[in-house]
Amino acid sequence: MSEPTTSDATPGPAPAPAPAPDPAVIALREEIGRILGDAATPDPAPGLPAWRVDAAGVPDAARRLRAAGFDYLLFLTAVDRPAEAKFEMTYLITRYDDGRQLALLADLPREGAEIDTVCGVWCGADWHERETFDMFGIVFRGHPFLRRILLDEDWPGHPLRKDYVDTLHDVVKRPY
Amino acid sequence: MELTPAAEHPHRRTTDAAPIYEDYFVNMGPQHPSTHGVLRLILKLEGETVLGLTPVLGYVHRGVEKMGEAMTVLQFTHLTDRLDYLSAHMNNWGWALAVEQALGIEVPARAEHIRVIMSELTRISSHQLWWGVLGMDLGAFTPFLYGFRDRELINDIFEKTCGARLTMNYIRPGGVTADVEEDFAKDVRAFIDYFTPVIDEYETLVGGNIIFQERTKGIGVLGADLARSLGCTGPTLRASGVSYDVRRNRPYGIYPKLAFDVPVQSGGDSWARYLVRIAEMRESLKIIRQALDTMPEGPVRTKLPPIVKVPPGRWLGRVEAARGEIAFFLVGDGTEKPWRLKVRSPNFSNLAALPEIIKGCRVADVVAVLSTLDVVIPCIDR
Repeated sequence: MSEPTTSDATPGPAPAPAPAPDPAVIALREEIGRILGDAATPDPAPGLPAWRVDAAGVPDAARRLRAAGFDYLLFLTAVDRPAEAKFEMTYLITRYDDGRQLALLADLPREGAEIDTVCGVWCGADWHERETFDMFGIVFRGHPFLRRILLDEDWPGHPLRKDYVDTLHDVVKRPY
Repeated sequence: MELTPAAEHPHRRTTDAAPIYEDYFVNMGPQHPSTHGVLRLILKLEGETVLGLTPVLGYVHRGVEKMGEAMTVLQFTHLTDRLDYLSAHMNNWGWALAVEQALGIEVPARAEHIRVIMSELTRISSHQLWWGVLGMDLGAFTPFLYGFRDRELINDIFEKTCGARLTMNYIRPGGVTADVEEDFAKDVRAFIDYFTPVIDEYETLVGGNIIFQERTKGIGVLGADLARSLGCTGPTLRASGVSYDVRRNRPYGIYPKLAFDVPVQSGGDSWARYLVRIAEMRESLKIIRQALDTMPEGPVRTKLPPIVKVPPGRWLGRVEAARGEIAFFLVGDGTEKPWRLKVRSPNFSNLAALPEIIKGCRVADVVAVLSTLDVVIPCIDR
């Protein structure tokens, strides 16, 4: 990018926008609150509307959302947060009719992370859970075939963990 | 299902946990002309009939998501082209949407129009390539030449404006790299005038061929419920009777202002997928014409701050690429690098349908069904 660093014409936009009180988001928040009940707490982070549930309550929440018309699992993945010693399971759930979207979050401990599968709710979760197992080492209980999907069976470690050290390639860490 | 330990498994990395030794296993790929890339399929056969199929992924896994964590959000734009290289503009756009949401920036109207025109040209060129390769997969060489002949015109338009023909890297957060060439509108209109009758020719040449119809009708039927449950998108989903298109169901850019139809077929077979893609090319031409007519003058890029920092939070950019919905999930932590980013590949979910719909077909049909699912392997493996 060749952005001029000294610009006097138009100043750059404010990097942190104020969360706009979008009526569609408020309606979604009410609807999801009804569907998930007390089991879920809204997550305050800006951006995507997100709800946090107990790891044990994920299949139940998934079934309720699916029954309420959220029939499209966009993907599921994890976010490694070593500072809080947890994996944040993230299920991106949306709909085939109006495309309304939400993230379902569940915290897992970084050591021996295990969670129940949602393959029974959306068939498409199968490969996504295998990928999350591959990249993070999270075990999905009840998964029909939990194997690595992108990497080799004998690959050491799980690359998307923040503490992953690449032992196969000669990685040069540069200061920039 | 009983799990077999990996070391004892006769075919490592298969999803078939209980192999029957009397059955015949055939490896298709990873180097096979009709797999459109480095994809390995393990076929379980009885004679010519496919009893089961297991895709083996990861031959071109590059760790794009891990690489993204070491790059700034603007640098990562360059890698999005290399996912589904036939939808390069749409991939750029999806990532740009995620970053623009995170930074809360608006895109100038002219840039929005250019984005739509470029994306729809990409969709047409992707479908042209698919159409040509579909013909070749089924034993007809002529469509391949026709498809590439017409694709060249779009590549020339891209080359003039973007300087590249494959990984254009043109749409980026805040707008587009630079304004279009002065001949752009003239070239695109010339292409529309040329290509509109050519689609009829395509339909006569391949779709009107009785051998082609016999090879695709009723083959590889994907039901609507299964397609929804698997998270299929794009023409693959729309051929199964589900009318879902991100451009209409969750509009972005200037798509709400444009009049276009979303072609839907109810058959769910290879023939239906063929019809949907042919119809989509016509719709794309319609969209391009409207966007050209209403394209305003003005700037093409919003000025970004010198250092782009992603505020903490989660953002999702969703666009309709040529093969379905591609989404970029961005988790920020206040630095200029993403804390985590995830690419939701349409091909990954579409390919998951293959093992289900191929059972009972013949070996030769595997090629036809794979070709009408139209997967691009680098997007699956990331």
